[in-house]
Amino acid sequence: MPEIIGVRNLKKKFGRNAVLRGINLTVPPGEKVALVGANGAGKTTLLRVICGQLRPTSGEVRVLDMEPWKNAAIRKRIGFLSHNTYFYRELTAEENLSFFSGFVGSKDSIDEVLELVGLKRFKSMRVSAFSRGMEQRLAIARMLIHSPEILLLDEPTSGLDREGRELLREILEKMSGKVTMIIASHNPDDIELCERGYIISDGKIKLDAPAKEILETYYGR
Amino acid sequence: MRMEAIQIAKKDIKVELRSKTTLNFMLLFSFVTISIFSISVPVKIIPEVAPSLLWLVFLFVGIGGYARAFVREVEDGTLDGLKMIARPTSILAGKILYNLSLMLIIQAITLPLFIAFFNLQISQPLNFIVSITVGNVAFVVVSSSLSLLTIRANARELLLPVILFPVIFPIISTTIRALSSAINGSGYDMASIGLVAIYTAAMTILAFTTVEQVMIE
Repeated sequence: MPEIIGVRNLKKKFGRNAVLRGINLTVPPGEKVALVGANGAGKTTLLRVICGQLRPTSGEVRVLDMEPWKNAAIRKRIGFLSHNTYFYRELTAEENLSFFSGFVGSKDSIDEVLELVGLKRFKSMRVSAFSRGMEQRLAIARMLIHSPEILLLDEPTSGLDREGRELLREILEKMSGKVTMIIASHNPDDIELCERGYIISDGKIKLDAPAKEILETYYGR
Repeated sequence: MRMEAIQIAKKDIKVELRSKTTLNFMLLFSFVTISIFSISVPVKIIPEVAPSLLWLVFLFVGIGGYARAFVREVEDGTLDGLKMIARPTSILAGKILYNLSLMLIIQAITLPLFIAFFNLQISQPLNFIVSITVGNVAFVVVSSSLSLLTIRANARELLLPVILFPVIFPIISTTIRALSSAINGSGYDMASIGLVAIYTAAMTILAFTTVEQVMIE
């Protein structure tokens, strides 16, 4: 099967601290893959290496057949929705999205996506005045503007209220099949969206199985 | 790359105009330094030491200020997001452009203050402005590039001067020579100005060829 993301024997160290200890993982186009594991297992680091924010200490990461940490054009094609929203707190919601869309060349209207995530009336408010949940909704709006080919989600529902979680779920379901996704989450509802999953423990893959089996093994569902 | 760099610089200027933390610090610091120097330096040696004192003011102000362009992105956790959408070379170019705009503001306010406080007689004002601008541009390029090396360090504010001083020493000594020529009226010191320009070009090439390796952890 062709792969859109391929990780081979990936190791990542921060100083002497080895966070990833030989990860192997493949994701074919359009698949939704879950990453589960305890805090500190290496999920976030793995996603950060895949999106090119970090470079591997050894091993290989290929996204769209390129190494993302070496290739800015590939990084642009990856969306990353994480608990760190990367917004400029002194800028307004609209200014943040406008800055972002200037780089990714979006055709979507900022007003429309802000309306969709329920933030249109807050568009002129600085992000520093936003609650955690509002910031996460704004990150969802940015994801919609981007419409990336690959989407990495790290605790995507963190800080969201029930309505926000439902909205995100709806959006992800709409993207299903068109966008390749890796979802790292502690929330079993997020894992249910996926076809397949990996359990990570202590920087290693412990189980590669269908999402149902991951839910049974990890959550006892 | 050019458009991306301009977008980043514009964003930084907007953020700075809203927060005013860096600019206020730099202006206040230059005022305090000039005041202290003007009180403590004997009047009769001013023409000889003025170029060095002026450089000290820009050095103190710049070390604290120009590094903020990258440090703020790291402290706010936005650098990783920026790396996802812009090329590292564009990010560096954007930060240099932003710091150059800060430099122009600081220079426009500090120079008249310095001249007034020291009652400095400059024989060739245009030569003086050209020399200090060339030196300051070199300082901005080098300090912006080197601050990138220290952003991950714990004691980055302490580490930057240690790395920066030896690298900018040629710029400082050469610019001081050019400034002295302007004050004394002994003509444009083209050798010094040219040397600073060549050094800046070499540092710029070095910074842009290594930025990709440095920026991705």
